Amino acid sequence: MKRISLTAIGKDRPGIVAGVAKVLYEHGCNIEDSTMTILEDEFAIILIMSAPEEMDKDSLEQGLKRAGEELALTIHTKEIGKESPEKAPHSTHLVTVSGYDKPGIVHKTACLLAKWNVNITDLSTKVIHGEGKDAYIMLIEVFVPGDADEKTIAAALKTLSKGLGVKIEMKPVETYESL
Amino acid sequence: MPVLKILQYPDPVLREKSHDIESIREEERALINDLIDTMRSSKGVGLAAVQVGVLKRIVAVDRTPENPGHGLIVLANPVITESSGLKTVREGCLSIPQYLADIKRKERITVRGLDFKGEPVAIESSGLLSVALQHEIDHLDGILFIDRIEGVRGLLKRKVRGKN
Repeated sequence: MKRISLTAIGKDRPGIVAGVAKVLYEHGCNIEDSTMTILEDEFAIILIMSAPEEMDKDSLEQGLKRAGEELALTIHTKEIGKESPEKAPHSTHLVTVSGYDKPGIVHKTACLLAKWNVNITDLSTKVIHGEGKDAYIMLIEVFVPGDADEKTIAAALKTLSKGLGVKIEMKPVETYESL
Repeated sequence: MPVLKILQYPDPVLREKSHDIESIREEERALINDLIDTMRSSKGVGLAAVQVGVLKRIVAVDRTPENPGHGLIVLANPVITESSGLKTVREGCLSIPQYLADIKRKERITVRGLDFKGEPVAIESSGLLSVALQHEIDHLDGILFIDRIEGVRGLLKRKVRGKN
């Protein structure tokens, strides 16, 4: 089996998933890990699929090109290698950032997390349009390595929160495994 | 006592309803011992009989898998008679080890059933014990934690065992 990644984005309307999935189905591709969601008025697809070794890649690309034209989507595919045996880490903490919108919130928060080797596993940002200033909310699920110093990271986030004038909180995700 | 194989989703037996037992006889005692051994060998916090393919309403929960026996509870024919509060928790399951899910559980529950000797007991619980009992009792009705996911982002890949 081949492993292929696909990204697609375009103005939201009914039929985008149906149109893209039809081409994949006709080529024997199996959608595995995927996220498909609306961002403002655009619909975005990111996915990884498996495809039979003998699958005709040119035909797949032509089919997707046609679907992309019909649905006004920008579509990109790429063959990726075998899945690494070391699976992605799951999240151990949720970081919530909220306050007035300003440039650099994502950049500075992400830099701090990267510095402490904290891996972002999922991130979502939303702007709440207010009458005067806009509010910004960012939710980040992160994997804090077992040997990391949580207190130091929390203190660094606190300093950053003062600098940015936003509220930043990091709390562990209560996990009950092995039930 | 043998460590049994834990059925893995999508094994159809996990969707079956388990039956009440009449009493704790030799056969049930042996099953309970096997459940405890199987749960310990997989470092589990809880196990329902259906997870080893036996459709009897018996569950085992051990709150302290790192200190076996201290938090061990075995219940037959468990019934939740009281519950209060709701909280969102992230759960995993020995029958679906690759994933975790964010779901809602009752915060506190009272469970009635039969203990290891077949005597009626009532257990009031909160925290891990409450979540684990609700999870295992769901198994007895063929319900899996993935059935309780409420949002599209509710299902998460789980880390590989042993890595951090």
